[in-house]
Amino acid sequence: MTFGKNSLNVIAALKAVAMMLASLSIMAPVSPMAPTSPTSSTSSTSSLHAADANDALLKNVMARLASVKSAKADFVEKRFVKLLNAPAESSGVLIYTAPDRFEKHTKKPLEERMTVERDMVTLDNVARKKQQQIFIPQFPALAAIVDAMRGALSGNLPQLQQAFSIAVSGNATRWKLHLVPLEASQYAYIHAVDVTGRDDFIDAIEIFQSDGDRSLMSMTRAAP
Amino acid sequence: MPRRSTVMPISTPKKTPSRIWILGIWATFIFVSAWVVFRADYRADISAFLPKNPTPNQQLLVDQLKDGVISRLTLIGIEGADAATLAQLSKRVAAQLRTDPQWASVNNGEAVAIQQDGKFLLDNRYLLSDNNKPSTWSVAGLQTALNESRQLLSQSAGLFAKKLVPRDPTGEVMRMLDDLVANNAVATVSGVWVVPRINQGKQKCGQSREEECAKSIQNSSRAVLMAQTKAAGIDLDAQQRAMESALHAFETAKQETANAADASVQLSGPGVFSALSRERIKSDATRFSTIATALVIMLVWWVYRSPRVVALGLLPVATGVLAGIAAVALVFGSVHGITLGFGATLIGEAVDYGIYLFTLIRRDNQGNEHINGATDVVENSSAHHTMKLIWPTLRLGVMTSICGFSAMMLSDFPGLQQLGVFSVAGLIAAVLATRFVLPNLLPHDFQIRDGSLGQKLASLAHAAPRLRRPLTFAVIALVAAGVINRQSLWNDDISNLSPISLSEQKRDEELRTALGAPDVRFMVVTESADLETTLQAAEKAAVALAALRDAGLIRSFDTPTQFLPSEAAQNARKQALPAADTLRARLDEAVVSAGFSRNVFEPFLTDVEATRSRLLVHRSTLDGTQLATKVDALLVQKPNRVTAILPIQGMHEDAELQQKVIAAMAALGAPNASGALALPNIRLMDMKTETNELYQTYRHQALAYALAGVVAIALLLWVTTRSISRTARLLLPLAAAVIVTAATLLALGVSLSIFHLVALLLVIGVGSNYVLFFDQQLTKDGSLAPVMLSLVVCNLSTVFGFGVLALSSMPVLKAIGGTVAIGAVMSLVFAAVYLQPAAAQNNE
Repeated sequence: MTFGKNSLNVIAALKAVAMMLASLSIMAPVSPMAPTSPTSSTSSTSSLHAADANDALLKNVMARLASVKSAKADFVEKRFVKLLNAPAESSGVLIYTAPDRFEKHTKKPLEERMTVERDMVTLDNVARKKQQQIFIPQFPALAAIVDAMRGALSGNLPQLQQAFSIAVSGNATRWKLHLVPLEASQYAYIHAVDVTGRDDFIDAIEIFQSDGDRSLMSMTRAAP
Repeated sequence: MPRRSTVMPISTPKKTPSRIWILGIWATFIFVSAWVVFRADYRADISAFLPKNPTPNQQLLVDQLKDGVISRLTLIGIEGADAATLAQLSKRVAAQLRTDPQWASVNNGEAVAIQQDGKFLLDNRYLLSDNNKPSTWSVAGLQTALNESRQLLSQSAGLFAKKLVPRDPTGEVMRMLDDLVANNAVATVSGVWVVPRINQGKQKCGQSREEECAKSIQNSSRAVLMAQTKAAGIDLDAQQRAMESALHAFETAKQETANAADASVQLSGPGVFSALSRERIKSDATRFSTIATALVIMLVWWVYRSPRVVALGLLPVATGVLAGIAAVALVFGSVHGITLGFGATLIGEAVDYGIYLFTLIRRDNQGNEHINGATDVVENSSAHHTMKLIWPTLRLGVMTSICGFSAMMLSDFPGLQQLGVFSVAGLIAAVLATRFVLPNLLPHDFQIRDGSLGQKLASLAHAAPRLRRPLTFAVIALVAAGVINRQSLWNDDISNLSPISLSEQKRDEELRTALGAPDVRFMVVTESADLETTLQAAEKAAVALAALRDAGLIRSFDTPTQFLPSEAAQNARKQALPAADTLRARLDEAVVSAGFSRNVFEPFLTDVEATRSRLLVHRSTLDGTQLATKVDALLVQKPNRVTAILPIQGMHEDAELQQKVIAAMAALGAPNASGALALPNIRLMDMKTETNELYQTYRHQALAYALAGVVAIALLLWVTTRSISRTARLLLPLAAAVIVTAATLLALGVSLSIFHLVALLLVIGVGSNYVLFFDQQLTKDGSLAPVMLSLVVCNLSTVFGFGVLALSSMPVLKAIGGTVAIGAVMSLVFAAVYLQPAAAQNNE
């Protein structure tokens, strides 16, 4: 005897389908071209000596980043999208709390708050009064971006190395990390993420998308 | 220690034809009944609780519960492993079930069917979207849309949206997705639904060690699958098989998957619950009846020390139960599980019949000399003789019980009718078996062992009338209390009667929430004779609901017209689409000012033009998509009757605001001024109230028929005794017993349900026997000693038999068990309290 309690509830279940739609069928890139083994392209350096030096620099940079327990920065993001005749620009504040939480609070042109915590992203579209929770692994492109940003912010080298092949250049006070996703599903969206910084501060994150579009986020230290 | 051996062969010097005939007829009857019982169709669905002449709302409920899409739903949850392993398990289970013809669809979030859905939405977006109206296609309208798209590109979602913008710059697909997603998104791991179990990880990580903490976080996910069976929810055998196939699929997947050793699976959903409850009622009934039977056997053994007598004591019971089930199967074509549950009640009364006979034999055997020649010694003269002596009382006792139960046969509910038929047929068969078969099978010189027990019990009984005054006051007080609190006596929340445990209900809730399918309580329903009219009405209702949603009175709603709009609406949308040249010109004007590059919108122009000559969306267009399931759930198509269902999520809790929603819906259904365009029959339904009302009707009817039964019993007693005062005296202990029993239950914190009601009826049935035997004995010689033992044995056997049932977790068994056990004791005690002095004054 179950009576009416369980009837007609499931109808709404199909809403579930929507997230899948968003990630799989409509918006997925049509080109299933395999990434040209991103692993090998950057990490194999010819000189063993150079590799050691790079290794030391990478560890140095990551150690500096790891020492930061919280940070706040103003950002300006420019998106270079082929569809648009001019870059789309947005700006706001970025707040990081060690080890794995950060918030990207866009203020212009439309207010939006993106909070990343553990493996969930909360998108609060203030302008449209719409809130969305996203399980990060569901969206490879998002996962690549989140992994890169969070890995760099926390200075967690093993975590970063799990998801990317890393090339480091510059020196300890002015450095650049070139991250290439190892995971084919992520590489299908994101070809590389460049993270540049001084000492323990990240001042730019540039994302190169597989379709040629890119975005550049520049940061300046903000009063805490 | 037995004083004398009662184990004697049924050795009769000559087998008279009548004895052979009787035993032959009985054996044939048992054989035929057993065959019918064995072949009978057993059910545990809710149909027995549904009225034969339902209101339209009830009819909808009934249809949905019986074979609606919802009734076919099974939710499968897998947990106890890390997310990646769960994903793999989910894929393997789904793959196996998809090849199984029992399952109509299996959805675990995999792209299999979803790509179809995406294609359907994208292809038909301009026919489906209610944003498609002439104003959208003006230069200004296009500009607004393009600006929005541009903003979207600068937001987080832009990364995903940009693939779609060139085809859909007005954002139709996005809008439909927003509607679909509403507040719910199912998280996925490697493409299948794996959701975090809320709070699980956090709670465990308070103080515990780091490793455990890490493990519990790692294992705090759950894979969810949503499957539809092909069979209707009411087909419990099929539901059971489907359930087993899902479990089997999981076990197979578990063995094939690494790291899955600790993984476990849970099934949920209406069909699963029905099948489970049938199983449980069955197993509980079996287990507890076995224990109860064992106890009764021990009791009878203790008194009679004879295995044969024990077996014979159960003979009327077995005969009655077989006859009862067979009668129900023959009359109704199937037997409901609840009937069987109630049927346990028959044992309580039927087992008494034999005991009356056995216990009274000795005495009558002793005073045997004076019996006249007519009865004489054919075989077991003492048994036959005793039977003749007690028969009038026994017959009257059975007739009162039959009166009590037969009123149920007049009910509108098949469940109550079945109960009536079962009891009446069972009691008649049991008493006939006692009357004609038992004496023929009893050992030749059967006698129960002597004992002072009867004397002791009798002296106790003789002291009982002292309690009369306090008891009478107590009963009056209880009645008064009951009248004052009459509103809270009954429990009309049907979910409390569900045999499904709270933890299972909670898990069902969790799985539903995970899938974004919360329990729906309110829904707008509209129906007409044809699909188009119904869809148009649903569209009007949807407009009204959207306004209520925007006003914050409801959170969201669903409508079948979201994916299957009326033809009228689709044609209007087609009409709204501009011709290719016009659109190109307007777009060119809008593009630059909105900041888009030129010529990026070619795919859009092509799509719009294609839609202008596109076929309208019909139900068949949805074939192969998951959306079809949704539409089917919301649109019930029967010959000459098409019903659209618009479930409302998050109805405002405030009762006044709810009234506004109700009023808004009522306004829709009312004919307008001209009357010509009145919408067909739009109404707001509250599923909870509706089901509870249904149950309430059921309970009211049961109560009414139970009272009718009591009146019939009173009439019967009056006709038999020809004395109103004597009838009243006989009824008094019974009434007191029923009142005190009900009061005891209420005092124990139990609120009364239909099951208690039926059990109280049984208390009257069983109790009337005590009262009649008690009375007969008093009338005869004023000494209670000879009859006390049999009454106490009967009473104890009833208490044992039913008391055990009270330990069951099934509400039906628990209610009947507890009530009858208490009631039986009360009846006997009150018979002793009220009947004795009456007998002293009354010499008929």
